[in-house]
Amino acid sequence: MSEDKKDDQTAEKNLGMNVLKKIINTIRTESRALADAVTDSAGSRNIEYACEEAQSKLADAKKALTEMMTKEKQSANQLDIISDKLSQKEALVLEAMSKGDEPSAMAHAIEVVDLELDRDFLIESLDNVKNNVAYLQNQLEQSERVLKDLERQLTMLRTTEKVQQATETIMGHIDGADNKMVSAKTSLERIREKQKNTASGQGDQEQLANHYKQVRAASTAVKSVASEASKQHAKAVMDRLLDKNNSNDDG
Amino acid sequence: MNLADFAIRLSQHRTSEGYTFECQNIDGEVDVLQVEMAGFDGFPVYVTRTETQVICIIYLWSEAEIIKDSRVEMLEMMLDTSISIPLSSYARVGDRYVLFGALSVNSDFDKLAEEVVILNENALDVVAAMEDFLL
Repeated sequence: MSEDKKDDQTAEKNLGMNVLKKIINTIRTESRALADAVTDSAGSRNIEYACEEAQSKLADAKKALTEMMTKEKQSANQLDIISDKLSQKEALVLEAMSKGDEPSAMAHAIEVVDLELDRDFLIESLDNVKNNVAYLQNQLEQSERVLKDLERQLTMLRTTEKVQQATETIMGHIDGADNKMVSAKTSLERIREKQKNTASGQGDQEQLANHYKQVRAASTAVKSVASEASKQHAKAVMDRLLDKNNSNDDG
Repeated sequence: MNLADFAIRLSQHRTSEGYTFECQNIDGEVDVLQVEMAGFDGFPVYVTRTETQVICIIYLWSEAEIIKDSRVEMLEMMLDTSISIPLSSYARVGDRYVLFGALSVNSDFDKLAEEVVILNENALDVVAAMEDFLL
């Protein structure tokens, strides 16, 4: 990595770190308009600019990496082709020599030398391409890191701003509704009172339920007694009618 | 999910514990939703959204409500207990102490609803635990 690029990344990193420092400084100076002070500062514009720059660098690096990877594949294919040709020519040299055809063997051997030169050149160039791919991949990761960090810093800024604005909105709403925010302790006491009432309400409900239970039991008992009495009455009626019927039959 | 969609779904939602929600939009520079849990005596939860996060806030108390001599002890207590509070953290906005939970904007509805409930439960515990420091 070149010194310039290292310096760039260090500057970008420092720029990011300065955001939290800036927020802390603004809080320490008890500025009411925290969000304005932080977000309107040149610092945030710098971060936005650095963010755009990092995104553009990332896009360039991705493009370069794609091209380099294509080159890597092409070189590897060429190397395969040359290696095949080399094997064929070497076989031809051996064949010519076995036939005692020295001029033909020499001609093939010269071609072998040329092919070997091409192969060595391709191997070297493929190594270079591979190194470049590795370098670009590393650069890409570095750029991604810088970008993520800048985005995180921007999130920090924007969240500070949003929360400040939201609080102003909420406080404005509460005051506007003539409904001042009650103190935490008053709220707690209100909640406890309500819970107590609910608990005592539950006690009342239990008492009421018990009362109804007793009334129902009593009513059932009464009904049961009543039903016993009415059964006896009915029996008496049946007996009376039976007697009457019997006496009519006798008569 | 934007705040308007969240408000509609939350208004129709009933949790497994039987809580329902009353939502009210608050007009202002940024979108804020006020959510109150029916069936739970707690505090209103204010929900707002940034590009990356949904932030749920409960306003606890202001600087003026703190017993002056207990302030440092209270702050230490808040630092000591913050990590124990599930899914919520303390913060201060201006002169108001808040309890908040932040979720990714990609969080699903159930997670957001869970946040509202747990934040309310946490806030009640926090105020009850810290009341000795308050006027």
